Amino acid sequence: MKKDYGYKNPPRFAERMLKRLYKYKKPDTRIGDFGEIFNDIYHNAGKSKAWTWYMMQVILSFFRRTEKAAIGSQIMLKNYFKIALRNIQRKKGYTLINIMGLSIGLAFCILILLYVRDEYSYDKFHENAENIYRVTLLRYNPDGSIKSMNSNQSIPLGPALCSEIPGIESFIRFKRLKHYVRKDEIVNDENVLYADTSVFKVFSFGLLSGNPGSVLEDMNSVVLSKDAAGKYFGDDDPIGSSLFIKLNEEYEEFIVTGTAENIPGNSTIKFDFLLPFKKLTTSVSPYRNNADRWDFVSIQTYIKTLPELDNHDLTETLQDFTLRHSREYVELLREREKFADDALVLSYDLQRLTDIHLSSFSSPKYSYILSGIALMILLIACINFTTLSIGLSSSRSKEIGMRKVIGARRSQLALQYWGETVIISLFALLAGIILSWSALPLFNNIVGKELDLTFSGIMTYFPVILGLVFFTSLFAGGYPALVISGFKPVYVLQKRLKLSGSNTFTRALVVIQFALSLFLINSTLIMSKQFDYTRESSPGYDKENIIQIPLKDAGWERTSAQFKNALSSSSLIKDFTASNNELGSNNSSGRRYFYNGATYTINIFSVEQNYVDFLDLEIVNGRDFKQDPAAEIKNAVIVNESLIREFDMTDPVGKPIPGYSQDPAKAPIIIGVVRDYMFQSFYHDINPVMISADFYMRYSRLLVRVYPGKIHEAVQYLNETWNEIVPDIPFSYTFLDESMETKYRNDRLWNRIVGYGSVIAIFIAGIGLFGLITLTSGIRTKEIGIRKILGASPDVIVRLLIKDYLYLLAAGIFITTPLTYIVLGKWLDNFAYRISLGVDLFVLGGMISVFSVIAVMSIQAVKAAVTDPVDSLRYE
Amino acid sequence: MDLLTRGEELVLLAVWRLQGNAYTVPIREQLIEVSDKKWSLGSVYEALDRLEKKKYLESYLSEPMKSRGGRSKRIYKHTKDGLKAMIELRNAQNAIWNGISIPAIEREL
Repeated sequence: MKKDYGYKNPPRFAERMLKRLYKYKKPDTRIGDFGEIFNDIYHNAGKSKAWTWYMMQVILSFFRRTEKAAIGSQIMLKNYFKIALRNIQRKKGYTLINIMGLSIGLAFCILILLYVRDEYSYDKFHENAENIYRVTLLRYNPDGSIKSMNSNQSIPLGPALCSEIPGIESFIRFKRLKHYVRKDEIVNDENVLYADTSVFKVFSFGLLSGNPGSVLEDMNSVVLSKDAAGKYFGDDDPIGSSLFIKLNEEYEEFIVTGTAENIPGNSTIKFDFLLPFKKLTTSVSPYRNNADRWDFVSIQTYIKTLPELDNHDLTETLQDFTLRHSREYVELLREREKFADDALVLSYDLQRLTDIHLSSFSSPKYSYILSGIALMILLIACINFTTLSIGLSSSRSKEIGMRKVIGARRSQLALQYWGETVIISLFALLAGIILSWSALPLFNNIVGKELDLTFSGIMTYFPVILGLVFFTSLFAGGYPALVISGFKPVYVLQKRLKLSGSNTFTRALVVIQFALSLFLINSTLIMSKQFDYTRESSPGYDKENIIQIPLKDAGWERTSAQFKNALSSSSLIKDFTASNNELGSNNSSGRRYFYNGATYTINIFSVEQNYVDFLDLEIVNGRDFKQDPAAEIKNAVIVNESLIREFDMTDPVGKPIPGYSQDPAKAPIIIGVVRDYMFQSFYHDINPVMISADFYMRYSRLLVRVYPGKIHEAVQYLNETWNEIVPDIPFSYTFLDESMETKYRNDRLWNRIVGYGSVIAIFIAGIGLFGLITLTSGIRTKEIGIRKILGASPDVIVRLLIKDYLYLLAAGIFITTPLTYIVLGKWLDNFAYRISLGVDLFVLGGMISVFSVIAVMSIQAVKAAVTDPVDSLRYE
Repeated sequence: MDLLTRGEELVLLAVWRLQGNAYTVPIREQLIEVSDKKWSLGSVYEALDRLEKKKYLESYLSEPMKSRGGRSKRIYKHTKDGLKAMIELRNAQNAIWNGISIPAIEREL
């Protein structure tokens, strides 16, 4: 039995189009039929499917109508084709400009289509995708809005959900850890994923060998991906062989029980090594000691619900569940943050598997930006087409007049004209597909994906691509078709009608073109300037030639003497130190505490005594650790200016950090203040920092400054030294400046994409302008000839031809400047340290465009200006 | 008797089966079910229009319905001619198949 959901209206404009198409039939009942099926699909397959279906009906009905109309006038149709092809042949140059522009625009659109499809296809390949959810914990604000969402959960959560809530069928917990994996001589630091046994039943990861129900049954079993199996076992069948994995201090033997197909690129959950979750909770520290605790959160928990359940059906049950298991914590928060008695404080929630990628790892924003750029480029190309067609129309006015006299209806002429546009667009589509196919490797490289464009791939997008061509031709050819078909035949044949290359509409379009190109140019410039700023401005310490070495389990407590000995004896190494934090990293360890009614967060840097000196930090007040005898290190800290500001301290040296410790004897005493330096990336403000040389946080990084030019030798030496001291742990290192660069990778990528986009936009707008000036100078041949005879010099003529367009460009600049200012200002707000948007950038952008316009136009203008007037006047 | 196309024949029979609720949407569903092919709405309209032109079917409008966005259904029913045509169709069908047994065909397979 169908459920009654109420009537959903199909898209209004589409419905109106259908009504028009069926106006001779019985439209109302037919629209009703379409509406009914639309609703059917809507409730069974979702909104997008229903929309697609409805739009397809409009397009199909449309073709049906035109087809019927065409059958009656087959001969005319043949004639139209002939005329269209002749026109294309006669005006090869303009056609080339049009096809070039449109094909580049379409190619861009196809690439973006691939990108967007991939973004939205994440995790949809799982058969149960609709019923798999990730469990999140929502914290609310007292006003009911969501304060934070956490996807890390405790170990007992999964089993509890499954046993207490009837709608939840099964649960899978995941934990990703880095372990050393050894086989014979090969040792690598690998990402290992722990998962519950039923992972292959719930998720559709394909197993090449092994039983999906029992591969992870055994405590010491491991499932390898195809790649990992190849890496460790070559072509041999790995089933039953053993691998050694270092979970805690010792290597343990694991038996390979299965191999899995490589995970598709569009999967959120990825693994090369899969271990049973039981192993984590029984053998791996600290998880084994916290396997029953609800406040130890570090596990990703997924659940599968019964097929007929929606995540909203479980909201209330989950709220009860949350209260049952964390009542104390909820009451504490309610008390402290003054929630109303019945307000939600905390609740588990379900996040659709298929929503995770776009909300956590990527953002729909990127799809929007890319689509925006592609549409801008396509629009510029469409405008080329429109302006050129209008400009060229005078050459066809006689044809139109003749047709009208013979009895063509306006709609026929418009359709004929538009048909020509469709033909050109189809050519452009063909070129565009080839173009996008050849540009795909470059595009993949830029966006960091592995997209593929195959013939069958194109076929699945075909309706969308055809729709794109349809609208392109409508935008590009619609207006000219209307204008040209509206000629009054009497005027045309009497030659009273004079169509010049630029009427008001053309001018407006050219202004839009300029504005769009300028927007892209300005954005590129501003983005590059911001990156130059981040690269060149000093972070407040000497970041040159620093190598950071993760200490991992090297046990600095045991090995520091050996390291110090080896490093200080080398002539390649200038200085070295160690710290618990990675420089330039976005996360740092610290402490947050309540004091005097406010929350303070202090980053704690536990370092070797020479740290300040090593980084060349500037001490503005007090002194460094170095001068102190070792005993005095206790409780002595150096802080940054930001901390002083935070606590509003005057004369801080010798005072304790306020509120840090209850026990005055243990309070850290400030002995020095350093100038603020950027220990994170430019996205972050500088937060309060406390530097302590008292070894109470484990060092995670060895920082080595090498002599310039000796970097390779130094890395070599460090590697050897490392292998001597801690042979069982692989050596790895990063260059500080390089790892800083990767922080900006995403934004740099967008800079490149916008850069490429603007180059292409300028190119298309450029060839369009070239066509336009060729046209106008052609139309004004005689005028120019007469002017020259009357004594005008070539430069006067050139100015005459270009002047108009410079005014239009000025208008474009006028429109685009505030737009850029707003949009790019928003983007810059992402950075804690940003450039200010000055006039200089806009001037630069404007200059670039003025010069491009002059350069493009001069070619034709000069040609027109230097032609012998005799030739131009004889020209009939 | 006018020869009907297969599509028209199927539609004619579907209208009979649906008795009183024979409008485009369920007719199309029936056709899809019976012939296991995708039928567009247009092809159903086409057949219905032709049958109506041949005076085998006549139609009337139902009350406007909420579930259709306030639009009515066009419900089809047979005319006398239509009913006669159905009988003729059935007879012709029987005559054509007379004496041909499926097991005999299957033996040839």
